[in-house]
Amino acid sequence: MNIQNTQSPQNTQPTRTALSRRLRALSAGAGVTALLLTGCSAASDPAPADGGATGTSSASTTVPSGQISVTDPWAKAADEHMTGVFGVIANDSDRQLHLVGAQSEAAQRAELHETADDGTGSTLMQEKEGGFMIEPGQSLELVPGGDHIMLMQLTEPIEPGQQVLVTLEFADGTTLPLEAVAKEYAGANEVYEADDTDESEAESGDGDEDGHGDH
Amino acid sequence: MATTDPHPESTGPAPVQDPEPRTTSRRAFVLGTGLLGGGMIGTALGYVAGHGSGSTTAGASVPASGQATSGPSEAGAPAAGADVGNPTWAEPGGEAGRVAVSSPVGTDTVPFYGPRQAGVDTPAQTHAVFLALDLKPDADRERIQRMLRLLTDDAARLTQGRATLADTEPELAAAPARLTVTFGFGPELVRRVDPARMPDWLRPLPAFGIDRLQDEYSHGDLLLQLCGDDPVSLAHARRMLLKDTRAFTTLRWVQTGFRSARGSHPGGTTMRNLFGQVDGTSNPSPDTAHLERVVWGQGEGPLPLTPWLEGGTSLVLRRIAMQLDTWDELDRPAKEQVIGRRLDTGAPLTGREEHDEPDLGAMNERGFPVISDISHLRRSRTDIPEQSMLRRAYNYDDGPSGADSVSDSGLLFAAYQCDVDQQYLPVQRRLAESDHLNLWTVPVGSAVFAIPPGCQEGGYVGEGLFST
Repeated sequence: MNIQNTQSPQNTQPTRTALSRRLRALSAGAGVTALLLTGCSAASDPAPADGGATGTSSASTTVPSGQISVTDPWAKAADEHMTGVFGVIANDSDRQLHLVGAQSEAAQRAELHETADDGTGSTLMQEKEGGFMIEPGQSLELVPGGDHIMLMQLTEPIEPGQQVLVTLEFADGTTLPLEAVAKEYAGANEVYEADDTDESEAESGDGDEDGHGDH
Repeated sequence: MATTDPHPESTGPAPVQDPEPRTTSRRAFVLGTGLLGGGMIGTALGYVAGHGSGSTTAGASVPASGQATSGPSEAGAPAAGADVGNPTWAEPGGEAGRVAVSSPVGTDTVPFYGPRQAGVDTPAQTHAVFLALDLKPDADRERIQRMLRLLTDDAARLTQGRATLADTEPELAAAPARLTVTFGFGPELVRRVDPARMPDWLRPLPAFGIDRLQDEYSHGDLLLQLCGDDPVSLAHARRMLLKDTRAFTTLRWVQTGFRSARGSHPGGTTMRNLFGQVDGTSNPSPDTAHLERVVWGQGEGPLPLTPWLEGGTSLVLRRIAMQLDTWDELDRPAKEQVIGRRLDTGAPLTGREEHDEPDLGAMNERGFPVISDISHLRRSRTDIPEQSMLRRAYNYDDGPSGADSVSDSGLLFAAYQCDVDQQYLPVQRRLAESDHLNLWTVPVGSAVFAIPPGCQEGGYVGEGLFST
């Protein structure tokens, strides 16, 4: 995945428009954040003041038809290595939605992951082969300890309160941007499958070196 | 010691000014929470009737029909028979399942968004916790802003019975029970964000001779005031908020307090402190021009009151230890002399009912003032109505402090006023100079905070401080 912009998320200064829109969505009504994307191109998102983690994707994007919404997106704050992104993706369109990938300027790579039973009673995280299928009217819940988006090889620390822009990629070539707010979180430390080579460490970006999950 | 006239024979139960529970929250807010979101997703949160059907929007907070069969008791949740209130289900969101809750006490909410923060002139809830935090050295303007956005989002959700993002115990958010979260700023926070907006009065109170202040109960850069009727949801809110402060602040102090449980006394009853006194009789009444003037600086008056930010106010929080063991040595008439009010009704010693106007000129048969010159009532009175404050005190009782001790009790004296220097200080100076009650009360903590305005959806508390 080509990452063209690896500016520091620390310098993030999201535009007022982008941020207020997100926060408005965050707090809307009964906690339902909706990116209502009918006929609305992600490329029309206001560009952030100085890029970074909240930068818009440079790729030209179109958006799936119908209504796709993301509720309560958030990311685990992490100093380095990798971290998880969570939320609920709802498919209110009349078509099957096939999520096949993700990317973020906050990380060298982003992957879709699932939980798998390793046969010993523990669970392992592993890349989800073929991505996630979301049927019309259904939702995909991305949660710690379950399906989630992994950001690998973080380009900069993701600090609490920062916004992390993640672009969801669907099988039909369309994309959907979401802004996940970073939260300090002690969980989401599941071990990776051994064949995940050099990144078979705990999923906590900040927890494995100093022995605890906090800053 | 001179005693007052015998109590009137007809003295009955304390008169209740307003027997209707006066709450700013109504079930309508609960009903409305799910509808504001536009009904986008099938995981809508809020209170739903029964289960299954209607899960795409928040439903009624009370099962629409056949409560006995559609309420929580149906699915093995606790039977409602012995409970106060009506059983219903809550879906706090996050990863939580549905939770059996009871309306109205559990499900009542106080609106979070608005031009002013809740928790100031909101009718006082049963429990309160005040948390003071100190900014870390690297918590600059940008980080403070990030923190306030995080905390605002947490508060907006929790106060409406919804889990926060990354909520580790989302079920504990299910019964907000009028939870409010109120933010206050100490001088250091204002200094780091925009020193030009520092109110003159935002600094520690001057030292008073009666003070025995302890640093562990004093000052702080950021105040979180959490109030609610349910101690469990309050504890949850406290923990979730504190987790989001950790990257930016360190904890300075925590003070917890309580009043009578919701429902124990009729709504609108003036609280009692642990001396047994009716405490807060002279408070500005809700929804009056006087309260608007005193707390929010609205309207006209002899004092030049201007809110530090429109919709903002100030909080003086004094921790006042009450020496109950020596107070016990006084007999009842003596206790009433100290205050100038009756213990039973809270009425002035010259009156019969709580809100009777005291007759400060009245003399007893021996030629002494019925309301003593050093009584708390007389010393705290002023000829300038604006030299007043909204008191929203909470009792504290931290348990015996030693083997021979019975209690370590007192009052978290929370006073809100537009301008500390013009309104609070003159009264405090008079009381520090002379107040019979000072023999049994000792201020051991003191903190002053600027209360910023509220915010609208999409905004965050304190944003006015960041605007240019």
